[in-house]
Amino acid sequence: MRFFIPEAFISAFKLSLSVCLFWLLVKAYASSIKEGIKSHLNFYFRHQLLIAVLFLVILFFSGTYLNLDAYYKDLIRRFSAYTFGILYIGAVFSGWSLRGTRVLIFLTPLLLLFLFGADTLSLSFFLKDLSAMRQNYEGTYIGALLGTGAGALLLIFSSRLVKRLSLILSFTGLLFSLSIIKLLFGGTGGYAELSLIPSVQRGLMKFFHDFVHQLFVFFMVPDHPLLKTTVWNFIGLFFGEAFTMFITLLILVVPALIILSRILRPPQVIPEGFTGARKRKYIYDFMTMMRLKAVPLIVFIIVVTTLWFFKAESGPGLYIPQPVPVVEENGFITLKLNEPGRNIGDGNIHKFIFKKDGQNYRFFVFNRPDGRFAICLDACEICPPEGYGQARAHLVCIYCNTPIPFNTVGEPGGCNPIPINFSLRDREIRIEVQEILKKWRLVHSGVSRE
Amino acid sequence: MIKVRGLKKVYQTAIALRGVDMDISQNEWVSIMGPSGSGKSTLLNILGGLDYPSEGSVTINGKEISSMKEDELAVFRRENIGFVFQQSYLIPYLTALENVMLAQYFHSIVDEKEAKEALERVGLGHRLHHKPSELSGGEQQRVCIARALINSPKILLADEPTGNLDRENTRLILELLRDLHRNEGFTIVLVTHDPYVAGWGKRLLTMEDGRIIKDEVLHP
Repeated sequence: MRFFIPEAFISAFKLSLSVCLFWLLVKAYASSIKEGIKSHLNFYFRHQLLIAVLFLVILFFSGTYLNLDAYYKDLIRRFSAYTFGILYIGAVFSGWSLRGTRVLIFLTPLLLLFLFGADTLSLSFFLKDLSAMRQNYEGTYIGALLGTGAGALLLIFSSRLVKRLSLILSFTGLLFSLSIIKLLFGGTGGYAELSLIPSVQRGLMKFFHDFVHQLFVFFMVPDHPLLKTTVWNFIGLFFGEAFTMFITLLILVVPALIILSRILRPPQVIPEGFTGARKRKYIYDFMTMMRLKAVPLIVFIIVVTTLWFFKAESGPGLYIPQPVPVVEENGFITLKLNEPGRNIGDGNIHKFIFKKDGQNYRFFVFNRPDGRFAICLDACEICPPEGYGQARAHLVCIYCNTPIPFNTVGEPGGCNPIPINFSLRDREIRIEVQEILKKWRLVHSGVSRE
Repeated sequence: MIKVRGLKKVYQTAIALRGVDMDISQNEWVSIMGPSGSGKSTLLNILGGLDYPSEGSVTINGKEISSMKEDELAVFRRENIGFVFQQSYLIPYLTALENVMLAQYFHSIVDEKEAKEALERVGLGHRLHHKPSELSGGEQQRVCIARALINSPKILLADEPTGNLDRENTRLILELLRDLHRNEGFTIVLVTHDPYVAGWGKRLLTMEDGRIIKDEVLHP
């Protein structure tokens, strides 16, 4: 039995490091602001911030006693990713006016809980699962303890950086820096799992797609297949992978670039009586100070662009299982929920294929997060039948990249996969073959790229 | 403004200053005279933070510069002291205007309009775009004065500023310094061996063998 589990160490170290960096940055920012506020803040930090950390510890321990199902656990993990978005919006708003609302700094303990509460709970769940999986309770928690300690040690060694960091931190810079921490250290799942860029991208794709749909409905565009195909093929470009990926980058980087250009402007007001060398010195000192304050923004832009680049390079990362051949029996197809090596209720899509009169018919079974089964053709009414892949929170049309939220799978219309009626009895799913043939007639007649 | 106490400077083979004490007030024009090797230039270099004393202290506007680190001293020099030397030390491939702007650049940021005005004030408005080799010795020295004063120093240190000039150009330069001194109120410490030049100051310090041997008021 191992003395400690490395995965537990790494996860705890990441979270501990994030919290410590948060502490370091807020302390550095506090030391850069006016004396009057500073003394108040120091008092505040010593007490309130410690209480916030204590709350995180309590959250951690309560996580070990909570028994949430996978859906809620996933919700908590995703909440952690959304905190980045809220931080980013806060940074952009504060940067717009270039005036930090210093009062907000007094909300720091709340911010700490908000940013790392979900991560702490997730870590707690993760360690619980890990210890059960490895059957090594002590090793898991010793690893986590060591990881937390390593993060705290780094804080002690880096406390001398406070003075230097204070030079580069404005309120906007502080929020951008916290965003960077959130991006790089993520939650328990890390950046790859709580991936912000695909989330924003999928959101955009859904928005563009629904917007166009509504527009069609509003203008009563006739539902003729020929018109539909031509128009959708064209419009599909605008909510395709490449286009929305590009828009995602713009959304994440352009506001930061605009704020950067505002920060790097010469001072708009020169104090009265400042002329000649004194005026030049004032401008120079101002610009030097602002260039330092621009550092967090520049780092943010570099980090986001780099992550975006790797994400754009790696593609959507969809789960696309191979269809399993099935045969009809007395006009029905029967599927057992559990078979050796297969559990079609596990929350993943399970594709099946059967042949009739020389034609292949594909469909899939999907157990939605709300526990309801959906059985659909692996095709919709609009696109050529390329089928669907599974992302973290959506099914995705392989042809047009439209995201279909899990809980709408099984509902008819638009880009949703065409639902099939079925019956579920004695842990067996029964589908009438005629139902499949009837529904397949709705499938768009365009030729698949396969 | 400038307070010097017990200033000594010892080189490996010679003693340049043997204990100098003096006070210079704001807006004073002090000339320092003495024979070659009497320690005039050494004193001026230490006053300007170009050299460290072996002993003693130099305090300017309440700040003891003799104990400052190199980088602190560079900032102090940049913001408080202007230098004019016997040699012009202008950058040969830059124009008069660019030479002045270079001093602005090392101080903070450049301002072409202000640099032009500085050259116009020393009577070189028509020579802005001439390189040092296209200027006479007197004109070069006037560029140096514009360069020394562009960053509004509180003190101008001049080491034989007219040493290479004929009498007419010497008079022009000294008149220029006098006008600027009157209008802008900076302190001048001027080292010379020429009694005519020294006579333009309000006070004359005479040095010999590393000591001030005479301190007299010329124009009360």
